[in-house]
Amino acid sequence: MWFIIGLIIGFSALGLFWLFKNKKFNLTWYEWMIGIIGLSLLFFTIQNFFGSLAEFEPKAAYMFLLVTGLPAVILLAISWQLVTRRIKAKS
Amino acid sequence: MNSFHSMVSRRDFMKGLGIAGAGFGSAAVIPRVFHDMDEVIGSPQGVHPKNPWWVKERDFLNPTTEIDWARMQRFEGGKYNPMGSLTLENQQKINAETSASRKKALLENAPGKTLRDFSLNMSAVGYATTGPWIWGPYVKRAGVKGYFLGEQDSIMTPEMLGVPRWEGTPEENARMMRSVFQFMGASEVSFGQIIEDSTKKLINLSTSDYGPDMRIVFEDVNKAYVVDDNRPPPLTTGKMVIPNRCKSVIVFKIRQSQEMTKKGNGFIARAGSNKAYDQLAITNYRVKAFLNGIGYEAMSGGTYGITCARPGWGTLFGLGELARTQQLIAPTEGPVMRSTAIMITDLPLPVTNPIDAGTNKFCHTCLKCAQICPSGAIYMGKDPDFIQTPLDHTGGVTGYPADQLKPELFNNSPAYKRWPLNHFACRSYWAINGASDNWCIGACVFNKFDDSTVHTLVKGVVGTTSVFNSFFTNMDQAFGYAHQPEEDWDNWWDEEHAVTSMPFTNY
Repeated sequence: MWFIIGLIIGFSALGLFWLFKNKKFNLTWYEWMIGIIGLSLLFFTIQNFFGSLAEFEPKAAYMFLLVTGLPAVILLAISWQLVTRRIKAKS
Repeated sequence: MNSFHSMVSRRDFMKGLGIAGAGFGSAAVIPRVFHDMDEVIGSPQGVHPKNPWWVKERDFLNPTTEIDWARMQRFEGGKYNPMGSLTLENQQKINAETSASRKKALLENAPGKTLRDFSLNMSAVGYATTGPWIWGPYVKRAGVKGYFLGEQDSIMTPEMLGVPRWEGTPEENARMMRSVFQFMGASEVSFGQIIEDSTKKLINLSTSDYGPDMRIVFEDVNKAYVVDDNRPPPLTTGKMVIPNRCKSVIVFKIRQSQEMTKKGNGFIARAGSNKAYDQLAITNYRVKAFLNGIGYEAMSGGTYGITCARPGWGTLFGLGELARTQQLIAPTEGPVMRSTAIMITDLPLPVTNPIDAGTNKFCHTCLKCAQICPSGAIYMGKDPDFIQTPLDHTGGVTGYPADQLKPELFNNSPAYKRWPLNHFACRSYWAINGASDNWCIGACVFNKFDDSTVHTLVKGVVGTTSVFNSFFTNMDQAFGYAHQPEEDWDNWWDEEHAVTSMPFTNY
Protein backbone atom coordinates (compact mmCIF):
# COMPACT_ATOMS: atom_id res chain seq x y z
CA MET A 1 0.00 0.00 0.00
CA TRP A 2 2.78 2.42 0.89
CA PHE A 3 4.41 1.67 -2.46
CA ILE A 4 1.23 2.71 -4.29
CA ILE A 5 0.86 5.81 -2.11
CA GLY A 6 4.50 6.66 -2.88
CA LEU A 7 3.83 6.31 -6.61
CA ILE A 8 0.77 8.62 -6.35
CA ILE A 9 2.76 11.23 -4.41
CA GLY A 10 5.62 10.98 -6.91
CA PHE A 11 3.44 11.40 -10.00
CA SER A 12 1.44 14.20 -8.33
CA ALA A 13 4.65 16.07 -7.50
CA LEU A 14 5.90 15.54 -11.04
CA GLY A 15 2.63 16.85 -12.50
CA LEU A 16 2.71 19.88 -10.23
CA PHE A 17 6.32 20.58 -11.17
CA TRP A 18 5.38 20.33 -14.87
CA LEU A 19 2.49 22.80 -14.36
CA PHE A 20 4.76 25.24 -12.58
CA LYS A 21 7.40 25.08 -15.30
CA ASN A 22 5.38 24.96 -18.49
CA LYS A 23 2.06 26.63 -17.65
CA LYS A 24 3.43 29.38 -15.37
CA PHE A 25 1.13 28.01 -12.74
CA ASN A 26 1.42 29.27 -9.16
CA LEU A 27 -0.19 28.71 -5.78
CA THR A 28 -0.68 31.14 -2.90
CA TRP A 29 0.63 30.15 0.55
CA TYR A 30 -2.82 29.29 1.88
CA GLU A 31 -3.63 27.14 -1.17
CA TRP A 32 -0.42 25.25 -0.49
CA MET A 33 -1.32 24.88 3.19
CA ILE A 34 -4.90 23.70 2.66
CA GLY A 35 -3.80 21.31 -0.08
CA ILE A 36 -1.00 19.77 1.96
CA ILE A 37 -3.22 19.34 5.03
CA GLY A 38 -5.95 17.79 2.88
CA LEU A 39 -3.54 15.41 1.18
CA SER A 40 -1.91 14.37 4.47
CA LEU A 41 -5.31 13.71 5.97
CA LEU A 42 -6.28 11.69 2.91
CA PHE A 43 -3.22 9.46 3.19
CA PHE A 44 -3.80 9.13 6.94
CA THR A 45 -7.35 8.01 6.18
CA ILE A 46 -6.32 5.48 3.54
CA GLN A 47 -3.66 3.93 5.78
CA ASN A 48 -5.96 3.70 8.78
CA PHE A 49 -8.86 2.40 6.73
CA PHE A 50 -6.87 -0.60 5.51
CA GLY A 51 -5.06 -0.92 8.84
CA SER A 52 -8.34 -1.14 10.75
CA LEU A 53 -9.65 -3.80 8.40
CA ALA A 54 -6.46 -5.80 9.03
CA GLU A 55 -7.14 -5.44 12.76
CA PHE A 56 -10.65 -6.92 12.42
CA GLU A 57 -12.18 -3.50 13.17
CA PRO A 58 -14.48 -2.73 10.21
CA LYS A 59 -16.53 -0.14 12.11
CA ALA A 60 -13.39 1.82 12.99
CA ALA A 61 -12.33 1.60 9.33
CA TYR A 62 -15.53 3.25 8.14
CA MET A 63 -15.34 5.81 10.94
CA PHE A 64 -11.97 6.86 9.55
CA LEU A 65 -13.61 7.46 6.16
CA LEU A 66 -16.14 9.69 7.87
CA VAL A 67 -14.08 11.47 10.51
CA THR A 68 -10.84 12.09 8.64
CA GLY A 69 -11.64 11.10 5.04
CA LEU A 70 -14.51 13.53 4.58
CA PRO A 71 -12.59 16.59 5.88
CA ALA A 72 -9.66 15.54 3.68
CA VAL A 73 -11.85 15.58 0.57
CA ILE A 74 -13.42 18.89 1.59
CA LEU A 75 -10.03 20.52 2.13
CA LEU A 76 -8.72 19.27 -1.21
CA ALA A 77 -11.89 20.52 -2.91
CA ILE A 78 -11.50 23.92 -1.26
CA SER A 79 -7.89 24.13 -2.38
CA TRP A 80 -8.84 23.15 -5.95
CA GLN A 81 -11.73 25.63 -6.08
CA LEU A 82 -9.56 28.45 -4.74
CA VAL A 83 -7.03 27.87 -7.50
CA THR A 84 -9.51 27.52 -10.36
CA ARG A 85 -11.58 30.55 -9.27
CA ARG A 86 -8.46 32.67 -8.89
CA ILE A 87 -7.26 31.69 -12.36
CA LYS A 88 -10.73 32.34 -13.84
CA ALA A 89 -10.90 35.75 -12.15
CA LYS A 90 -7.53 36.69 -13.63
CA SER A 91 -8.52 35.69 -17.15
CA MET B 1 21.81 -1.74 34.44
CA ASN B 2 25.33 -3.07 34.37
CA SER B 3 27.88 -1.42 32.16
CA PHE B 4 31.59 -0.77 32.41
CA HIS B 5 31.39 2.94 31.77
CA SER B 6 28.79 5.61 32.18
CA MET B 7 27.46 6.06 28.68
CA VAL B 8 24.64 7.97 27.16
CA SER B 9 22.94 5.66 24.72
CA ARG B 10 21.76 6.86 21.36
CA ARG B 11 18.18 6.53 22.54
CA ASP B 12 18.72 8.56 25.71
CA PHE B 13 20.60 11.14 23.70
CA MET B 14 17.68 11.54 21.33
CA LYS B 15 15.24 11.69 24.22
CA GLY B 16 17.37 14.36 25.85
CA LEU B 17 17.25 16.47 22.77
CA GLY B 18 13.51 16.05 22.77
CA ILE B 19 13.37 15.47 19.07
CA ALA B 20 12.97 11.73 19.07
CA GLY B 21 9.35 12.21 20.00
CA ALA B 22 8.83 14.53 17.11
CA GLY B 23 9.52 11.66 14.80
CA PHE B 24 12.76 12.76 13.22
CA GLY B 25 13.55 9.18 12.38
CA SER B 26 16.48 10.09 10.22
CA ALA B 27 18.37 11.45 13.22
CA ALA B 28 18.08 8.07 14.91
CA VAL B 29 20.52 6.45 12.54
CA ILE B 30 23.49 8.18 14.17
CA PRO B 31 25.88 5.30 14.80
CA ARG B 32 26.96 4.58 18.33
CA VAL B 33 30.64 5.22 18.96
CA PHE B 34 32.63 2.80 21.11
CA HIS B 35 35.86 4.13 22.55
CA ASP B 36 37.43 0.88 23.71
CA MET B 37 36.74 -2.84 23.94
CA ASP B 38 35.30 -2.53 27.46
CA GLU B 39 32.55 -0.39 26.05
CA VAL B 40 31.86 -2.90 23.30
CA ILE B 41 31.62 -5.82 25.74
CA GLY B 42 29.64 -3.82 28.27
CA SER B 43 27.24 -2.46 25.70
CA PRO B 44 23.70 -2.50 27.08
CA GLN B 45 22.31 -2.60 23.55
CA GLY B 46 20.06 -5.59 23.10
CA VAL B 47 19.77 -6.16 26.86
CA HIS B 48 16.63 -4.15 27.51
CA PRO B 49 13.48 -5.01 25.54
CA LYS B 50 13.29 -3.00 22.34
CA ASN B 51 10.64 -0.41 23.14
CA PRO B 52 9.21 2.50 21.14
CA TRP B 53 10.54 6.00 21.80
CA TRP B 54 7.75 7.06 24.16
CA VAL B 55 8.55 4.36 26.71
CA LYS B 56 10.53 5.81 29.61
CA GLU B 57 12.88 3.67 31.67
CA ARG B 58 12.51 3.97 35.46
CA ASP B 59 14.90 3.23 38.30
CA PHE B 60 15.68 -0.34 39.32
CA LEU B 61 12.77 -1.94 41.26
CA ASN B 62 10.74 1.25 41.04
CA PRO B 63 7.85 0.42 38.70
CA THR B 64 4.73 2.51 38.15
CA THR B 65 3.02 0.16 40.64
CA GLU B 66 4.02 1.00 44.20
CA ILE B 67 5.05 -2.04 46.27
CA ASP B 68 5.25 -2.51 50.05
CA TRP B 69 7.77 -5.35 50.23
CA ALA B 70 7.42 -5.64 54.02
CA ARG B 71 3.80 -6.78 53.59
CA MET B 72 4.45 -9.05 50.63
CA GLN B 73 4.27 -12.78 51.35
CA ARG B 74 4.97 -15.86 49.25
CA PHE B 75 1.73 -17.31 47.86
CA GLU B 76 0.37 -20.81 48.31
CA GLY B 77 -0.29 -21.40 44.61
CA GLY B 78 -1.39 -24.94 45.38
CA LYS B 79 -4.38 -23.57 47.27
CA TYR B 80 -5.47 -21.25 44.47
CA ASN B 81 -9.21 -21.72 44.13
CA PRO B 82 -11.34 -18.91 42.75
CA MET B 83 -14.50 -20.88 43.58
CA GLY B 84 -13.32 -21.69 47.07
CA SER B 85 -15.55 -19.02 48.57
CA LEU B 86 -18.50 -21.33 47.92
CA THR B 87 -19.46 -24.43 49.81
CA LEU B 88 -18.31 -27.70 48.25
CA GLU B 89 -21.93 -28.55 47.53
CA ASN B 90 -22.46 -25.36 45.55
CA GLN B 91 -19.18 -25.85 43.69
CA GLN B 92 -20.41 -29.27 42.58
CA LYS B 93 -23.76 -27.80 41.55
CA ILE B 94 -22.01 -25.18 39.41
CA ASN B 95 -19.79 -27.79 37.80
CA ALA B 96 -22.91 -29.74 36.85
CA GLU B 97 -24.51 -26.59 35.44
CA THR B 98 -21.36 -25.84 33.44
CA SER B 99 -21.56 -29.27 31.79
CA ALA B 100 -25.24 -28.75 31.09
CA SER B 101 -24.77 -25.27 29.56
CA ARG B 102 -21.89 -26.59 27.43
CA LYS B 103 -24.02 -29.46 26.13
CA LYS B 104 -26.89 -27.08 25.43
CA ALA B 105 -24.61 -24.75 23.42
CA LEU B 106 -23.16 -27.67 21.45
CA LEU B 107 -26.62 -28.98 20.60
CA GLU B 108 -27.81 -25.51 19.56
CA ASN B 109 -24.72 -24.93 17.36
CA ALA B 110 -24.37 -21.47 18.88
CA PRO B 111 -21.75 -19.20 17.20
CA GLY B 112 -18.30 -20.00 18.56
CA LYS B 113 -19.74 -22.84 20.61
CA THR B 114 -20.17 -25.65 18.10
CA LEU B 115 -18.54 -29.04 18.44
CA ARG B 116 -15.69 -28.04 16.14
CA ASP B 117 -15.13 -24.90 18.22
CA PHE B 118 -14.97 -27.03 21.34
CA SER B 119 -12.60 -29.48 19.73
CA LEU B 120 -10.36 -26.62 18.58
CA ASN B 121 -10.36 -25.27 22.11
CA MET B 122 -9.38 -28.65 23.59
CA SER B 123 -6.78 -29.56 21.01
CA ALA B 124 -5.08 -26.15 21.17
CA VAL B 125 -3.84 -26.99 24.64
CA GLY B 126 -4.13 -30.76 24.46
CA TYR B 127 -6.41 -31.22 27.42
CA ALA B 128 -9.91 -32.57 27.80
CA THR B 129 -11.71 -33.13 31.03
CA THR B 130 -9.12 -34.71 33.26
CA GLY B 131 -7.46 -32.55 35.88
CA PRO B 132 -8.48 -28.94 35.58
CA TRP B 133 -5.13 -27.67 36.87
CA ILE B 134 -2.75 -29.80 34.84
CA TRP B 135 -2.55 -28.21 31.45
CA GLY B 136 -1.19 -29.57 28.23
CA PRO B 137 0.25 -32.95 27.34
CA TYR B 138 3.77 -31.98 28.30
CA VAL B 139 2.92 -30.86 31.83
CA LYS B 140 0.73 -33.93 32.28
CA ARG B 141 3.34 -36.44 31.22
CA ALA B 142 6.61 -34.84 32.25
CA GLY B 143 6.07 -35.35 35.97
CA VAL B 144 7.26 -32.88 38.56
CA LYS B 145 10.92 -33.26 37.57
CA GLY B 146 10.24 -32.59 33.90
CA TYR B 147 7.90 -29.75 34.82
CA PHE B 148 10.46 -28.04 37.06
CA LEU B 149 13.82 -28.97 35.53
CA GLY B 150 13.02 -29.96 31.95
CA GLU B 151 14.44 -32.79 29.89
CA GLN B 152 17.63 -33.16 31.89
CA ASP B 153 18.00 -36.88 31.25
CA SER B 154 17.91 -36.62 27.47
CA ILE B 155 20.10 -33.56 26.87
CA MET B 156 23.76 -33.78 25.87
CA THR B 157 25.54 -31.60 28.41
CA PRO B 158 29.04 -30.10 28.00
CA GLU B 159 30.27 -32.70 30.54
CA MET B 160 29.03 -35.52 28.33
CA LEU B 161 30.59 -33.89 25.30
CA GLY B 162 33.88 -33.36 27.11
CA VAL B 163 33.93 -29.62 26.55
CA PRO B 164 33.80 -26.64 28.94
CA ARG B 165 30.44 -24.95 29.43
CA TRP B 166 29.50 -21.80 27.53
CA GLU B 167 30.93 -18.63 29.05
CA GLY B 168 29.83 -15.11 28.18
CA THR B 169 29.46 -11.70 29.79
CA PRO B 170 26.04 -10.96 31.32
CA GLU B 171 25.26 -8.67 28.36
CA GLU B 172 26.27 -11.30 25.79
CA ASN B 173 24.20 -13.87 27.66
CA ALA B 174 21.21 -11.51 27.70
CA ARG B 175 21.33 -11.05 23.93
CA MET B 176 21.76 -14.81 23.48
CA MET B 177 18.77 -15.62 25.69
CA ARG B 178 16.55 -13.07 23.93
CA SER B 179 17.34 -14.78 20.61
CA VAL B 180 16.73 -18.23 22.08
CA PHE B 181 13.43 -17.30 23.70
CA GLN B 182 12.13 -15.55 20.60
CA PHE B 183 13.16 -18.55 18.49
CA MET B 184 11.34 -20.86 20.91
CA GLY B 185 8.05 -18.94 20.87
CA ALA B 186 8.28 -16.00 23.28
CA SER B 187 7.70 -12.49 21.97
CA GLU B 188 10.02 -10.59 24.34
CA VAL B 189 12.20 -11.11 27.40
CA SER B 190 13.61 -9.04 30.22
CA PHE B 191 15.95 -9.91 33.05
CA GLY B 192 15.37 -9.90 36.80
CA GLN B 193 16.96 -11.23 39.92
CA ILE B 194 16.04 -13.21 43.03
CA ILE B 195 16.55 -10.67 45.81
CA GLU B 196 16.10 -11.54 49.48
CA ASP B 197 13.23 -9.60 51.13
CA SER B 198 11.82 -8.44 47.80
CA THR B 199 11.54 -10.44 44.58
CA LYS B 200 12.12 -13.76 46.35
CA LYS B 201 8.68 -13.26 47.89
CA LEU B 202 7.16 -13.47 44.42
CA ILE B 203 8.09 -17.14 44.12
CA ASN B 204 5.17 -19.33 45.16
CA LEU B 205 5.35 -21.74 48.09
CA SER B 206 3.57 -24.32 45.93
CA THR B 207 2.16 -24.55 42.40
CA SER B 208 -1.37 -24.59 41.06
CA ASP B 209 -0.34 -27.47 38.80
CA TYR B 210 0.70 -29.94 41.52
CA GLY B 211 -1.19 -28.86 44.63
CA PRO B 212 -0.22 -27.54 48.07
CA ASP B 213 1.96 -30.46 49.17
CA MET B 214 4.53 -30.12 46.40
CA ARG B 215 6.61 -27.34 47.99
CA ILE B 216 8.94 -24.87 46.31
CA VAL B 217 11.93 -24.33 48.56
CA PHE B 218 15.29 -22.54 48.42
CA GLU B 219 18.30 -24.47 49.75
CA ASP B 220 22.07 -24.03 49.97
CA VAL B 221 22.79 -26.74 47.42
CA ASN B 222 24.77 -26.75 44.21
CA LYS B 223 22.19 -28.33 41.93
CA ALA B 224 18.44 -28.00 41.68
CA TYR B 225 16.53 -31.21 42.43
CA VAL B 226 13.06 -32.65 42.93
CA VAL B 227 11.62 -34.99 45.54
CA ASP B 228 8.39 -36.53 44.25
CA ASP B 229 6.18 -39.31 45.63
CA ASN B 230 4.62 -39.73 42.16
CA ARG B 231 1.07 -39.41 43.44
CA PRO B 232 -1.28 -37.69 40.98
CA PRO B 233 -1.93 -33.98 41.45
CA PRO B 234 -3.20 -32.30 43.51
CA LEU B 235 -2.06 -34.94 46.04
CA THR B 236 1.55 -34.98 44.87
CA THR B 237 3.87 -34.60 47.82
CA GLY B 238 7.50 -33.56 47.78
CA LYS B 239 9.58 -30.52 46.98
CA MET B 240 11.14 -28.60 44.11
CA VAL B 241 14.46 -27.18 45.26
CA ILE B 242 15.97 -23.95 43.96
CA PRO B 243 19.67 -23.52 44.86
CA ASN B 244 20.27 -20.22 46.64
CA ARG B 245 23.19 -19.53 44.32
CA CYS B 246 20.84 -19.29 41.30
CA LYS B 247 19.88 -15.63 41.22
CA SER B 248 19.23 -14.78 37.57
CA VAL B 249 15.63 -14.66 36.39
CA ILE B 250 14.52 -14.49 32.78
CA VAL B 251 11.05 -12.98 32.38
CA PHE B 252 9.33 -13.78 29.10
CA LYS B 253 5.94 -13.25 27.56
CA ILE B 254 3.79 -15.41 25.33
CA ARG B 255 1.32 -13.69 23.04
CA GLN B 256 -2.12 -14.94 22.23
CA SER B 257 -4.10 -14.63 19.04
CA GLN B 258 -5.46 -11.12 18.61
CA GLU B 259 -8.16 -12.41 16.29
CA MET B 260 -9.47 -14.95 18.81
CA THR B 261 -9.31 -12.32 21.54
CA LYS B 262 -11.71 -10.25 19.49
CA LYS B 263 -14.31 -13.01 19.62
CA GLY B 264 -15.28 -12.27 23.21
CA ASN B 265 -16.31 -15.64 24.60
CA GLY B 266 -17.18 -19.12 23.46
CA PHE B 267 -14.94 -22.08 22.76
CA ILE B 268 -13.37 -20.49 19.70
CA ALA B 269 -12.19 -17.50 21.75
CA ARG B 270 -10.78 -19.82 24.36
CA ALA B 271 -8.87 -21.74 21.69
CA GLY B 272 -6.67 -18.67 21.25
CA SER B 273 -5.74 -18.47 24.91
CA ASN B 274 -5.39 -22.23 25.22
CA LYS B 275 -2.93 -22.39 22.36
CA ALA B 276 -0.84 -19.76 24.10
CA TYR B 277 -0.96 -21.78 27.34
CA ASP B 278 0.44 -24.75 25.46
CA GLN B 279 3.09 -22.51 23.91
CA LEU B 280 4.04 -21.46 27.42
CA ALA B 281 4.79 -25.08 28.34
CA ILE B 282 6.59 -25.70 25.03
CA THR B 283 8.80 -22.60 25.33
CA ASN B 284 9.56 -23.53 28.94
CA TYR B 285 10.84 -27.02 28.24
CA ARG B 286 12.72 -26.01 25.10
CA VAL B 287 14.64 -23.20 26.77
CA LYS B 288 15.40 -25.28 29.87
CA ALA B 289 16.88 -27.88 27.53
CA PHE B 290 18.95 -25.19 25.81
CA LEU B 291 20.34 -23.91 29.11
CA ASN B 292 21.19 -27.46 30.23
CA GLY B 293 22.86 -27.96 26.87
CA ILE B 294 25.26 -25.07 27.43
CA GLY B 295 25.99 -26.17 30.98
CA TYR B 296 23.61 -24.18 33.19
CA GLU B 297 20.74 -24.82 35.58
CA ALA B 298 17.20 -23.87 34.59
CA MET B 299 14.09 -23.96 36.76
CA SER B 300 10.57 -22.95 35.86
CA GLY B 301 7.09 -24.36 35.60
CA GLY B 302 4.94 -25.60 32.79
CA THR B 303 1.73 -23.68 32.32
CA TYR B 304 1.01 -21.91 35.61
CA GLY B 305 4.59 -22.02 36.79
CA ILE B 306 6.36 -21.29 40.02
CA THR B 307 5.07 -17.76 40.50
CA CYS B 308 1.59 -16.32 40.51
CA ALA B 309 3.01 -12.80 40.22
CA ARG B 310 3.53 -13.19 36.50
CA PRO B 311 2.40 -9.65 35.59
CA GLY B 312 4.41 -8.54 38.64
CA TRP B 313 7.70 -9.83 37.26
CA GLY B 314 6.93 -8.21 33.92
CA THR B 315 6.13 -4.93 35.65
CA LEU B 316 9.25 -5.00 37.82
CA PHE B 317 11.68 -5.78 35.03
CA GLY B 318 10.46 -3.79 32.08
CA LEU B 319 8.07 -5.84 29.95
CA GLY B 320 5.08 -3.63 30.66
CA GLU B 321 2.89 -2.13 33.36
CA LEU B 322 0.20 -3.51 35.64
CA ALA B 323 -3.34 -2.91 34.36
CA ARG B 324 -6.70 -2.54 36.08
CA THR B 325 -7.44 -6.13 35.06
CA GLN B 326 -4.37 -7.41 36.99
CA GLN B 327 -2.76 -8.27 33.69
CA LEU B 328 0.34 -6.84 32.11
CA ILE B 329 0.00 -4.20 29.41
CA ALA B 330 3.02 -4.17 27.12
CA PRO B 331 3.91 -1.13 25.02
CA THR B 332 3.60 -3.11 21.78
CA GLU B 333 0.81 -5.67 22.11
CA GLY B 334 -0.98 -4.27 25.16
CA PRO B 335 -2.74 -7.05 27.09
CA VAL B 336 -2.97 -9.41 24.08
CA MET B 337 -0.76 -12.01 25.69
CA ARG B 338 -1.60 -15.09 27.67
CA SER B 339 1.10 -14.80 30.26
CA THR B 340 4.43 -13.56 31.38
CA ALA B 341 6.47 -16.32 32.98
CA ILE B 342 9.84 -16.69 34.64
CA MET B 343 12.82 -19.03 34.45
CA ILE B 344 15.46 -19.10 37.18
CA THR B 345 19.02 -19.93 36.17
CA ASP B 346 22.65 -19.64 37.24
CA LEU B 347 23.60 -18.15 33.87
CA PRO B 348 25.08 -14.69 34.62
CA LEU B 349 22.63 -12.07 33.38
CA PRO B 350 22.17 -8.32 33.82
CA VAL B 351 18.95 -6.79 35.13
CA THR B 352 16.53 -4.59 33.23
CA ASN B 353 14.65 -1.66 34.69
CA PRO B 354 10.90 -1.11 34.87
CA ILE B 355 9.23 1.09 32.29
CA ASP B 356 6.61 3.80 32.10
CA ALA B 357 4.56 3.93 28.90
CA GLY B 358 1.67 5.81 30.52
CA THR B 359 -0.60 2.76 30.45
CA ASN B 360 -0.98 2.26 34.22
CA LYS B 361 -1.96 5.91 34.52
CA PHE B 362 -4.41 5.44 31.65
CA CYS B 363 -6.20 2.67 33.61
CA HIS B 364 -7.07 5.18 36.35
CA THR B 365 -9.71 6.84 34.18
CA CYS B 366 -10.47 4.43 31.32
CA LEU B 367 -12.65 1.70 32.95
CA LYS B 368 -13.65 0.16 29.60
CA CYS B 369 -12.76 -3.35 30.83
CA ALA B 370 -14.65 -2.91 34.11
CA GLN B 371 -17.74 -1.66 32.31
CA ILE B 372 -17.87 -4.54 29.84
CA CYS B 373 -17.10 -7.32 32.36
CA PRO B 374 -20.33 -9.37 32.61
CA SER B 375 -19.57 -10.56 36.15
CA GLY B 376 -18.50 -7.31 37.81
CA ALA B 377 -15.11 -8.82 38.66
CA ILE B 378 -13.05 -5.75 37.79
CA TYR B 379 -12.74 -3.04 40.42
CA MET B 380 -14.53 0.19 39.50
CA GLY B 381 -12.68 2.56 41.87
CA LYS B 382 -10.63 5.25 40.11
CA ASP B 383 -7.29 4.95 41.83
CA PRO B 384 -5.36 1.82 42.78
CA ASP B 385 -4.54 1.25 46.43
CA PHE B 386 -2.98 -1.21 48.91
CA ILE B 387 -6.24 -3.16 49.22
CA GLN B 388 -7.74 -6.60 48.79
CA THR B 389 -11.03 -7.28 47.05
CA PRO B 390 -13.61 -6.12 49.61
CA LEU B 391 -15.13 -9.07 51.48
CA ASP B 392 -18.66 -7.92 50.68
CA HIS B 393 -17.87 -7.67 46.96
CA THR B 394 -19.25 -11.10 46.24
CA GLY B 395 -20.21 -10.28 42.66
CA GLY B 396 -20.53 -13.23 40.37
CA VAL B 397 -23.37 -14.45 38.22
CA THR B 398 -23.83 -18.04 39.35
CA GLY B 399 -26.90 -17.77 41.52
CA TYR B 400 -24.78 -19.21 44.32
CA PRO B 401 -23.21 -16.07 45.79
CA ALA B 402 -20.47 -16.47 48.32
CA ASP B 403 -21.41 -15.48 51.86
CA GLN B 404 -17.98 -14.00 52.20
CA LEU B 405 -15.11 -13.82 49.75
CA LYS B 406 -11.81 -15.46 50.56
CA PRO B 407 -9.37 -13.24 48.67
CA GLU B 408 -6.43 -15.14 50.16
CA LEU B 409 -7.39 -18.06 47.88
CA PHE B 410 -6.47 -16.00 44.83
CA ASN B 411 -3.50 -14.12 46.23
CA ASN B 412 -5.31 -10.87 46.71
CA SER B 413 -2.28 -9.45 48.47
CA PRO B 414 -2.63 -5.89 49.77
CA ALA B 415 1.13 -5.40 49.39
CA TYR B 416 1.04 -3.44 46.17
CA LYS B 417 -1.07 -0.62 44.77
CA ARG B 418 -3.55 -2.05 42.35
CA TRP B 419 -7.20 -2.44 41.47
CA PRO B 420 -8.11 -5.73 43.18
CA LEU B 421 -9.66 -8.36 40.94
CA ASN B 422 -12.50 -10.54 42.16
CA HIS B 423 -11.42 -13.94 40.83
CA PHE B 424 -14.55 -15.57 42.22
CA ALA B 425 -16.82 -13.31 40.17
CA CYS B 426 -14.67 -13.81 37.04
CA ARG B 427 -14.61 -17.58 37.40
CA SER B 428 -18.35 -17.70 38.09
CA TYR B 429 -19.03 -16.26 34.64
CA TRP B 430 -16.88 -18.95 33.05
CA ALA B 431 -18.94 -21.52 34.93
CA ILE B 432 -22.28 -20.43 33.56
CA ASN B 433 -20.82 -19.60 30.14
CA GLY B 434 -19.18 -23.01 29.77
CA ALA B 435 -15.87 -21.40 28.73
CA SER B 436 -13.59 -18.59 29.79
CA ASP B 437 -13.88 -15.25 28.05
CA ASN B 438 -11.84 -12.45 26.53
CA TRP B 439 -14.22 -9.55 27.17
CA CYS B 440 -11.74 -7.47 29.18
CA ILE B 441 -8.71 -7.98 26.92
CA GLY B 442 -10.83 -7.53 23.81
CA ALA B 443 -12.17 -4.23 25.13
CA CYS B 444 -8.83 -2.73 26.20
CA VAL B 445 -7.79 0.46 24.42
CA PHE B 446 -4.25 -0.96 24.15
CA ASN B 447 -5.18 -4.25 22.48
CA LYS B 448 -4.38 -2.84 19.05
CA PHE B 449 -1.13 -3.56 17.30
CA ASP B 450 0.32 -1.10 14.83
CA ASP B 451 -1.49 -1.94 11.60
CA SER B 452 -3.16 1.46 11.85
CA THR B 453 -0.75 4.36 12.32
CA VAL B 454 -3.21 6.12 14.59
CA HIS B 455 -2.38 3.64 17.37
CA THR B 456 1.29 4.61 17.33
CA LEU B 457 0.23 8.24 17.54
CA VAL B 458 -2.13 7.59 20.47
CA LYS B 459 0.39 5.44 22.36
CA GLY B 460 3.05 8.10 21.84
CA VAL B 461 0.83 10.81 23.32
CA VAL B 462 -0.30 8.56 26.22
CA GLY B 463 3.35 7.83 27.00
CA THR B 464 4.17 11.53 27.06
CA THR B 465 1.19 13.10 28.83
CA SER B 466 -1.98 11.92 30.58
CA VAL B 467 -3.95 15.06 29.62
CA PHE B 468 -5.67 13.35 26.67
CA ASN B 469 -6.39 9.98 28.34
CA SER B 470 -10.14 10.51 28.74
CA PHE B 471 -10.37 11.88 25.20
CA PHE B 472 -8.70 8.75 23.81
CA THR B 473 -11.05 6.50 25.80
CA ASN B 474 -14.02 8.35 24.34
CA MET B 475 -12.56 8.19 20.83
CA ASP B 476 -11.95 4.45 21.19
CA GLN B 477 -15.64 4.02 21.95
CA ALA B 478 -16.79 6.48 19.29
CA PHE B 479 -14.79 4.68 16.59
CA GLY B 480 -16.45 1.44 17.60
CA TYR B 481 -13.36 -0.56 18.59
CA ALA B 482 -14.97 -3.67 20.00
CA HIS B 483 -15.30 -7.41 19.78
CA GLN B 484 -16.42 -9.05 16.57
CA PRO B 485 -20.21 -9.42 16.32
CA GLU B 486 -21.24 -12.88 17.51
CA GLU B 487 -22.62 -13.86 14.09
CA ASP B 488 -19.12 -13.40 12.58
CA TRP B 489 -17.24 -15.62 15.03
CA ASP B 490 -17.51 -18.74 12.93
CA ASN B 491 -16.25 -17.00 9.75
CA TRP B 492 -12.81 -18.04 10.97
CA TRP B 493 -13.43 -21.57 9.72
CA ASP B 494 -13.69 -20.42 6.11
CA GLU B 495 -10.98 -17.74 6.05
CA GLU B 496 -7.38 -17.88 4.89
CA HIS B 497 -4.88 -17.47 7.73
CA ALA B 498 -1.51 -15.85 7.12
CA VAL B 499 1.23 -18.26 8.10
CA THR B 500 4.02 -15.73 7.58
CA SER B 501 2.70 -13.46 10.32
CA MET B 502 2.50 -16.31 12.81
CA PRO B 503 4.77 -14.91 15.53
CA PHE B 504 2.92 -11.62 15.37
CA THR B 505 -0.67 -12.73 15.40
CA ASN B 506 -0.60 -16.14 17.02
CA TYR B 507 1.30 -15.54 20.22
